[in-house]
Amino acid sequence: MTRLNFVALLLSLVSIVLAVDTQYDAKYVNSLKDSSGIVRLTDATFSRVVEGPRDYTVAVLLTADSPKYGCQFCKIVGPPFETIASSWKQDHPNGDGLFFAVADIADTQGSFMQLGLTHAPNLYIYPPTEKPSTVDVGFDHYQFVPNESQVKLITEYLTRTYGFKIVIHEPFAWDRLFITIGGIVLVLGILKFASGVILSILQKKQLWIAVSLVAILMFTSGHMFNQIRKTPYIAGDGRGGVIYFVGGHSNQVAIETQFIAVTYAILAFATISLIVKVPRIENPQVQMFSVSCLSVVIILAFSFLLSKFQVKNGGYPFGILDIF
Amino acid sequence: MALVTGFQKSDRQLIDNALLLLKVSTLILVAGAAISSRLFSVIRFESIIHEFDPWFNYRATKYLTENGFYKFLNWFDDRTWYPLGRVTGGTLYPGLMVTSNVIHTVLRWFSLPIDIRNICVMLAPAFSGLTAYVTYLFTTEMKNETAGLLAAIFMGIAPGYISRSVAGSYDNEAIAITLLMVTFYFWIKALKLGSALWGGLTALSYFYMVAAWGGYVFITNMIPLHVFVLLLMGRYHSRIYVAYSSWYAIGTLASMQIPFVGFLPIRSSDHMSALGVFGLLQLVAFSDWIRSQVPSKQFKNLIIVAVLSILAISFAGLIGLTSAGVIAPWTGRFYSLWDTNYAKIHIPIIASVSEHQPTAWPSFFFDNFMLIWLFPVGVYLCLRELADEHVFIIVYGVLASYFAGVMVRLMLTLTPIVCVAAGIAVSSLLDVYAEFAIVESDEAVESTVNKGGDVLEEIDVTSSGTSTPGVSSEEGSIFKTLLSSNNTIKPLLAKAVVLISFTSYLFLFVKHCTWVTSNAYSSPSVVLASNLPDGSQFLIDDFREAYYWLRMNTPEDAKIMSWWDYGYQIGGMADRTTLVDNNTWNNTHIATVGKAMSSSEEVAYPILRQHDVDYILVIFGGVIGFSGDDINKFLWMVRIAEGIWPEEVKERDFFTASNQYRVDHEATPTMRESMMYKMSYYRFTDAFGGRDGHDRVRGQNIPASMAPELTTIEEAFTSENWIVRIYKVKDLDNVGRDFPKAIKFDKGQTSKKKRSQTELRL
Repeated sequence: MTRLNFVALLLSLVSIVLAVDTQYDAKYVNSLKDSSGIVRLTDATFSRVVEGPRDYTVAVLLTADSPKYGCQFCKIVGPPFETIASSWKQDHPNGDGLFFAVADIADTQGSFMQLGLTHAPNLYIYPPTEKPSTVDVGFDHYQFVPNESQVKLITEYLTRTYGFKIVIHEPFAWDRLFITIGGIVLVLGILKFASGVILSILQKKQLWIAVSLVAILMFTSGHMFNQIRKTPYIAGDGRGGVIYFVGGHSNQVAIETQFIAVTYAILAFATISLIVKVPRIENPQVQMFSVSCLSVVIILAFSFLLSKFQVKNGGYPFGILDIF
Repeated sequence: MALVTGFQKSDRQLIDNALLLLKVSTLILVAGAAISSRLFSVIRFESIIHEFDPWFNYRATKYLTENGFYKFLNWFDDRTWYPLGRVTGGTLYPGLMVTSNVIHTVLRWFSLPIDIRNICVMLAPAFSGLTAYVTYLFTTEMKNETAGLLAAIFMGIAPGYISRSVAGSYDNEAIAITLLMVTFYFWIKALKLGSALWGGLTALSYFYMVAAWGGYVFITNMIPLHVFVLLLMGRYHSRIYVAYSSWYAIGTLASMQIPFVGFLPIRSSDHMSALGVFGLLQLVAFSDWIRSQVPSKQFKNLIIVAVLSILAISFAGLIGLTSAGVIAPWTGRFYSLWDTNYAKIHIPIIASVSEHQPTAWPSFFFDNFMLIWLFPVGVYLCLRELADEHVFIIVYGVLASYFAGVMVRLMLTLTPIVCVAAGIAVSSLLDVYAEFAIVESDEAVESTVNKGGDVLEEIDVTSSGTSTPGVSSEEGSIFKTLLSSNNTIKPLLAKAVVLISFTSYLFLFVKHCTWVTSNAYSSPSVVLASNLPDGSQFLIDDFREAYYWLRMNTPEDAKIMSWWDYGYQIGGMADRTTLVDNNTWNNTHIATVGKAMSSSEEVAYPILRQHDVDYILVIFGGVIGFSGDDINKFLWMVRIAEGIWPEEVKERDFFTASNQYRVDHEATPTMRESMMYKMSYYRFTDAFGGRDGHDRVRGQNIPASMAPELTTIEEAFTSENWIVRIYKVKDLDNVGRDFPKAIKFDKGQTSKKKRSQTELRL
């Protein structure tokens, strides 16, 4: 531990010496920018860009994009940050006192250590300073808020705190335009040549039966909850295993919807078979057999449903067969 | 039937009479069950109004009975939304209050002086009995009387409907679901008969519905959608034309008579589908007429082109008018049904209401039990039958299950159709398996001596001949096939297995419904009940205690600030002026209260002075473990305030560095300085004898060393279990000092030096 600290101290000392030796200005940082207006930092450039004195502001996104770190939030804040950077570059090709830099841990392990960072992403904003300073002082730590509109939040923050007026230019989605046009043309073409077939398919009762029943089964088993809340697919039990049914009356994971929808479907189709299919069987023995089978299926599925409901609602007193 | 002899005829008559008796007694029993299962709270507590909105409805009803109808319509309420006031008469749906008032007046006319409060409390159960009957009529139109009776039973006790109609739940929904079913029943009647009379009746009940509930928009879109689907299926018929046109013309004109609705039916997008289908129907009718007159194929094509271009033009016109602002775009609540993220981003006040949250599957199961899986069965059978009226069930079913999935509160509109579909499903099952007409009838009775199923199956056996299932299906009716003699179950045991298992499921259903009603839906939420370890009941009556304190101990014109949830209750129970209430019409005013609650005393005091606030009321559950308290709602106050003042209130400041919402020693300075925090935890640690206090809701410890101190307000009242805490806003200091100084002076801190000198001299 002490050795590590010592190394860090030594490193920072060296970098101070370097910084004092060479006065890096905005032009140098500007030259590092890639086509999207972002300065991709490495351990070699990190301290040069960030250390004082500097006559520019630099916003550094310290991130861990590589999949081996499994940083979900890094992937969320990355693209908005790039959008802001490229928008700024479009209006200010020379930076005009504000730069956007990305320091990925893969390239800047040393700097991460220097800053003592244990988690990512972080957005550090280094305002201009007269004094010579190291990388780990004089910055402003922006707090990410889990929200839909990261672009808006970050630009608003930069405007409010540092007075940079950033106009966001959403890149025009040519691909989407072409896909839309192509799609319309394709649909029209299909309609022109195969309207008869499509019409006959659309007039099939089976299709509408399937569509309505699937819709109803999905909605009544909480599909919209998953859509709106963006629930995880499955939950862990904290010991490395998984649980399929989490507790709580107004809480669920996505896989529950699937289990429940299938259970409802089994129950519904068993009942439909009892009503529609079984009476058509001529042979009494076969009829008896299928009735028993379907009744067993219903009782099992219903027991399953009730036992799972007890997981969700702890104090629920009813159940049929206690086998699940 | 020509061979029927005199003896057989009288026999038939006897059976018919017996049937009628059975039907009537079943319906009376269903209504009885529906009403009595809603009375848990009256028996447990007393005849008391529940929750929040009902308190306003009750207050408005009292105003109506005291001041008469015209004064009620012109009512400007200066005791809410201080200092703005609210044009209450013009911004409410008067149906509920007028209904109770009419009942009150009629009963008085019969010399039965029943207190208006008891009428309000009992209105919802009474109407639920009516709903069960209307569901019977509706389902009878769909299949037969067996299905009708089953659906009526389901509707009577389904928790999804009970949740909004227990005694004391005096809310618009109490009568609205009845009216919904009445309107739909009339509509199906009108559609089947092509009768303008039934269409007119549909319009009248629609008018009543508009007067009663904002959810009337559901009908406004449901009926046009039904017609539209029928048109798409190529099922145009003059019956549809007559029914729809008479409903739309009369219904729209009638609905515009409600002051709150006014010109909305022609100016808001919510209502445009009804208008559009009305126009479409005229075009279709016209082209249909032309087609019947002119045989030429070319001319037909011309008509089709003309119809399509008129449609396109009117659609473009609609878009143009909407963008020009003549037609109002979709209202926020309605829009949030389609774009589910809309409310979260744009209108936090809608997103903050718990009943606007999406629905997880347990809620569906909780509210409908086995009906939820019988629902697809019924829909399947309707799809197989597919007469015009069955299209209605299908469209309604799919649409309502989507809506119920997006918003918990819309479970209410789903429940009726679930009951209807389940009624159809179970009755179809009984059609097949309870058909003992060919076998000995003695055994039929023997194998089904179960209390619940007994009556129904009896009726089913005999009524099968008289029922008339829906017609106009191409492939032949599936409902008829079920009853035909070559479609039978031969082994008696098979019948017994199915009947016994389903009868026991139905038993379980009844038990489930009773349990749910008793445990989940019968709490007035004004009085909380919990069980002590020895099983005896423990009542927490803090709310009424505090409101009564306000009523008795504060001047009549005192202004009370609280979060909007408690506005209606303060108005109804304490009879004091409030700043905001549950009618969330002014977001800025609510945000003002939110800002006052979430900022420090120095910032809040000017706001309090500006709004003449005398008392502040907060709900705090940390002592007793009541989780619905203000600290848990606090983030919504912050968010709503931040929506208006993003510079001054920031949600981020209330989270710790590790992004947690905490109230203990890790709480952020902003959190600890906020009015809400201070008012909640003021003297909290004193209750623990000066040690760290334990918050039982959040499970965190409040350090005694950081106990909040108040300077601009003072504690006036704290209820028995600390749930309600009331603070008095101090007047300006007499000698012009600021509050911290005055406090210091009172505590004698500034004179410490002097005193020590005096001591020295002695």
